Amino acid sequence: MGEPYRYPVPDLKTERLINLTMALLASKRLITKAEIFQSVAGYSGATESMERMFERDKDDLRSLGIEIEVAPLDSLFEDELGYRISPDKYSLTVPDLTSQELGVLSVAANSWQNALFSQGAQRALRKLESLGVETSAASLQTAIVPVDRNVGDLHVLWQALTESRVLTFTYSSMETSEREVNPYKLSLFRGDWYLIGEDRSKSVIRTFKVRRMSKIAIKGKSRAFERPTDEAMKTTLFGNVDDEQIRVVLRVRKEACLSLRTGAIINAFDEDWDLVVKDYQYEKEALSEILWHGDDVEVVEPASLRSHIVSLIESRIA
Amino acid sequence: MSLSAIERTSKALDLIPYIVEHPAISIEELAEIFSVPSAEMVELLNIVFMCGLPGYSHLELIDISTEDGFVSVIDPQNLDRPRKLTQVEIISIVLGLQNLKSQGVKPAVMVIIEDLEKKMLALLGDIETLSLVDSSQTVEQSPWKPLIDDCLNESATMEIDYVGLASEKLTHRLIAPKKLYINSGHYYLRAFCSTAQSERNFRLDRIQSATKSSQVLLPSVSAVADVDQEVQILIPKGALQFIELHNEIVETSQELGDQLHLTLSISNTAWLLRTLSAIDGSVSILSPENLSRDFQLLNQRVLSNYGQI
Repeated sequence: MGEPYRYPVPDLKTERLINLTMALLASKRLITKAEIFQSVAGYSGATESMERMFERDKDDLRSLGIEIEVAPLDSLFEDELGYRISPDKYSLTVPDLTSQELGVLSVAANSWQNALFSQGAQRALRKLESLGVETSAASLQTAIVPVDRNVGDLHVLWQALTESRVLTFTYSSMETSEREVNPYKLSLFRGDWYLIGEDRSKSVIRTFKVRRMSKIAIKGKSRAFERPTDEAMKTTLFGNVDDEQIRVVLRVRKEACLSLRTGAIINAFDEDWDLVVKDYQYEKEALSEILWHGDDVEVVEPASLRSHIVSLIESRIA
Repeated sequence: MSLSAIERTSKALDLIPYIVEHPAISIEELAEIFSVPSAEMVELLNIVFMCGLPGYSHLELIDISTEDGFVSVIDPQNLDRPRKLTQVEIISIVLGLQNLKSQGVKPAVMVIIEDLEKKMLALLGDIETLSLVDSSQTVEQSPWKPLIDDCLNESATMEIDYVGLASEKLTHRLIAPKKLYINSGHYYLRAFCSTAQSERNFRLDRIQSATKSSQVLLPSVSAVADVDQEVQILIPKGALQFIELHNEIVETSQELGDQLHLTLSISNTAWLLRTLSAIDGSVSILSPENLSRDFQLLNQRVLSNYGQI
């Protein structure tokens, strides 16, 4: 005997949301809640429960970007509201999209690995492909590669950003700690996503690596804070490009450290060593490159960097 | 995992106009395009089949035909047009176009991209939202990228002068490019290398010169694959970036007080010594013994430079 036939489980809420969209979209005038409850399939039960259902449905459709017009039916009696979806505000219109352009958009959509922008771009592409334009495979003759790593929870960060809502999360750095942050900006820097925001417990703007965030949640209401200007965020990791660079003087073994010599001023020091002067954006960057080259390089100046390296290496030998 | 009612609604509203424009499309193809399993797509189509305009007679319901696994919409009712793009969808596309520009496209393609950018931004309305994301520092530019693009398109070989990542020595190599990728903001070229007789990764900012070559490059029969070995190390707990950047070589990771004990699987130990040296903090190699000794000797030589030994 074969498997018994399984009747599909009805998804009443999805059906109701689609039916409501179609009814509001079809109406040329504002329709009342009573008309909706009477005519749209899926609304049943006591009036109070149908009203709650309708309020949730409106919020759900709005979360999908569907604009529902709400206005009083009579300007003299503002207590009775009517609803509709304007076809002009619902439907997508993009002037003169060619198949070649659609092909380029398809390549652009594939340049993401993170779920937020990758899924967003794919959804956009599907809508654009529903406009009746054939896609032609774009031959850009250029290798286009994804620019970022995938990280979870960018959706939550995006929602908090666009709604100006407070975020809470666990952050793993030197210490693992709980943070409460006003999110200001998402930044993609060298393949990794960062969140720039105000650490509410310290009232300072900080940069958080998204990969080190876990248990991310939104707290409180929308518009909980004002976003500062980009100028005010200049003290963050990505904003301080105008800051003074650090100049380092090095003794570098001849014929060695070819990559370190790029962009540096080089003079002979003696028959074994060159004197190299190089500017770095950050001290961390200088330290990392100098340590990478091991015993082929020695810091002459600044003295603070020199002594930092000595104590670091001594700790490794001890 | 099955979708929520909102996700299903979103997909269903996009599905109808898509099928209208792509009649007789297979359920499998639809499932792939809408990123759902085939069974979920069948359920979605069943749901849509039950929906329609008030009245809900056969004349007012959405009518779909699914013959032999191929789907067409006979009557979409008033869902024949795609929904307008949401804010995040437009931003995903606009930033995606900027990704293309940053990767060096031909002038003719640049014109198309800039036109598209204008069209998409006109749909966005509130440009302020775009300032919530900064993706301007995604990848460094490379003068070699156009040449590599050509070689990849034509399956041509290249001759390069390359400063080795671990050796810091300049070598001349004949390579057959395979693919380009980005890691930590740097372009890398995966290519078969005649010198190593195996595939290698070349960081573009370490290429000193490059030309297209007419030589054919065939792998030698005697080519030997690189052998990984197990290496145990201790790094500071704060050096999380080491794991984030080199996740593919980290086999296990365990917290030990304020340090992390890692087991690595790696063939290029010269690269590992340099990478560990570059960490700002206390680092030690626990095993194998010869590598641990090499690291100690390297550190002693550095200290000797500073007159400390």
